[in-house]
Amino acid sequence: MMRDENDIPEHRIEEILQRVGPLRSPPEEMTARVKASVKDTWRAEVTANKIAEPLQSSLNSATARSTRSWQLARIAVAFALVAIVSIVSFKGEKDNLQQVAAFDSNYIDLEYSTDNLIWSPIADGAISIHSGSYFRVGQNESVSMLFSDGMNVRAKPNAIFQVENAHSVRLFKGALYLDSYNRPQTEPFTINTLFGQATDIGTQYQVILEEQQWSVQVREGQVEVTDSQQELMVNKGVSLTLFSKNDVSPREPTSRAISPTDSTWQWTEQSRPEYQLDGKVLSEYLMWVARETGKDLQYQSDDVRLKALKTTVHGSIGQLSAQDSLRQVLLSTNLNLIDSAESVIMVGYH
Amino acid sequence: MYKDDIALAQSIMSGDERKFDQFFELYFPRLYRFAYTRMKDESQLEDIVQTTLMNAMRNMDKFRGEATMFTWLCQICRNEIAQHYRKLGKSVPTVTADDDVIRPILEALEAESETDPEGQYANHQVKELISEVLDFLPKNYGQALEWKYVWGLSVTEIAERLHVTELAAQSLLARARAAFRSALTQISPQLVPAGQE
Repeated sequence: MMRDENDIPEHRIEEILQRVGPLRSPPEEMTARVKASVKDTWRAEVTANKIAEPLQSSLNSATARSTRSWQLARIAVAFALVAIVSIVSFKGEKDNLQQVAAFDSNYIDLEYSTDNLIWSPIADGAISIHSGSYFRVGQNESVSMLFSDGMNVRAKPNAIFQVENAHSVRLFKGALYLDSYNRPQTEPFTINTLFGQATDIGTQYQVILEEQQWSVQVREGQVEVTDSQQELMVNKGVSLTLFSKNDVSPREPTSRAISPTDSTWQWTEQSRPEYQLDGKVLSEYLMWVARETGKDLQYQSDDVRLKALKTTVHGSIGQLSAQDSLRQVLLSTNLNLIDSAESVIMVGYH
Repeated sequence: MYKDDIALAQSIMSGDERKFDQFFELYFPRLYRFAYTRMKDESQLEDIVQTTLMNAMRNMDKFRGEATMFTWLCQICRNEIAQHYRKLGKSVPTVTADDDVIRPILEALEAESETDPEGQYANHQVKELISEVLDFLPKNYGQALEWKYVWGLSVTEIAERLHVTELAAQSLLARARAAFRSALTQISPQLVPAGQE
């Protein structure tokens, strides 16, 4: 008997399979019925494909070659009509494309496409985003977009996505981060992927798409996640990973805890929208820092909290990260950063 | 890339009836079993599997060979089942292979007694799972293992059925055992200890 070094005990295989017994077989009548129906569909598909091939060659040549040429000509007219209608419809749709968002800045390393096939660099100064547009982020920078309803969406370097409309983005590759802080809760915002969709319920979260899996990580609030088999609610501090159903051994979703200050969120600070500091109340600025860093804002005392509510700050933080801007801004007040541990921002007096 | 599956898809699209028949005989029974373990309502089983295969015919040009043909068909079938349950307002029953659940069930399979209801249910669960594992093995590995260890066919008889030489049949059985072991090990490392005879 031929054996290789990785052979497995045959008696074990035999034992298991004999206990399992013969595999369940479909009834013969069902098999015959299904085969007949499927075969009809198969024949129709093959026939349709075969008509399309000679049609193309007859359109390319000047003369008809066969006795069936008049039939092919009728089909050609039908296809032409369909093509004309499609072109008119597309043009009409293009005229109706709405601006649904805008980039926060002029990005150099960013490309756009109308069909996810042919890419062009974003024109200098162009920040408008229309529904249906595709974008491909370069490897050197992340980008930030503000939607008409206040939703802030940031795309990580190398991400590819389509802005479908004012309330949904389709992610093809990479990661997107969403912050709905300034957004009134009127209509859900959805991220669609090949494997499923995530819908916000007042949140900060990111969606990461990989080859055979996707993850939804919630920093704040809740996200509803849907795929072909289930609907799940993901809470703050949870990272949920769902796997492609095309796996040979399909895997159940897995979840793990993820801190709001985990390093996975760091890239989002690089593409944060510009923050208008001048004239803001200090407490509002501190809440913004807490949101951007994922840290918990605490005041040393009620007196300090009151002070923050009554202090107005001026100036600009430019492109400083939220964390880095903190000490600078507090310098202009008589408050200090008492503790900026990994998960806490505590503000108080000297 | 699964080149054999790509070649089969191309043959089917080109109108090769022999290849269509081969495709149907290879995949219909496996798809039937796949849907059977997930459908509580057997009266809809035929519709689900038939619709799955008809959709596969309409979309065969989209098959890229990045997963096996059977995996692709199961994905279509899953969507059909999910739609079916959605229309009924119900959730899809899931099939899991959690090791903490499976290990005691597999241990129960080892036990002699199958007389108590709990033992019978556990055995049924395991049988469904092993059947699924066999169907998900590549090519005709599952079929070959069933012929050899359930029906007791000889290597010669298996070679005749597969239209290959005896040597090729022996080689296929060796690969099938390895694939089966690997798949079982994923669901229960305790089941097949390495090197144990």
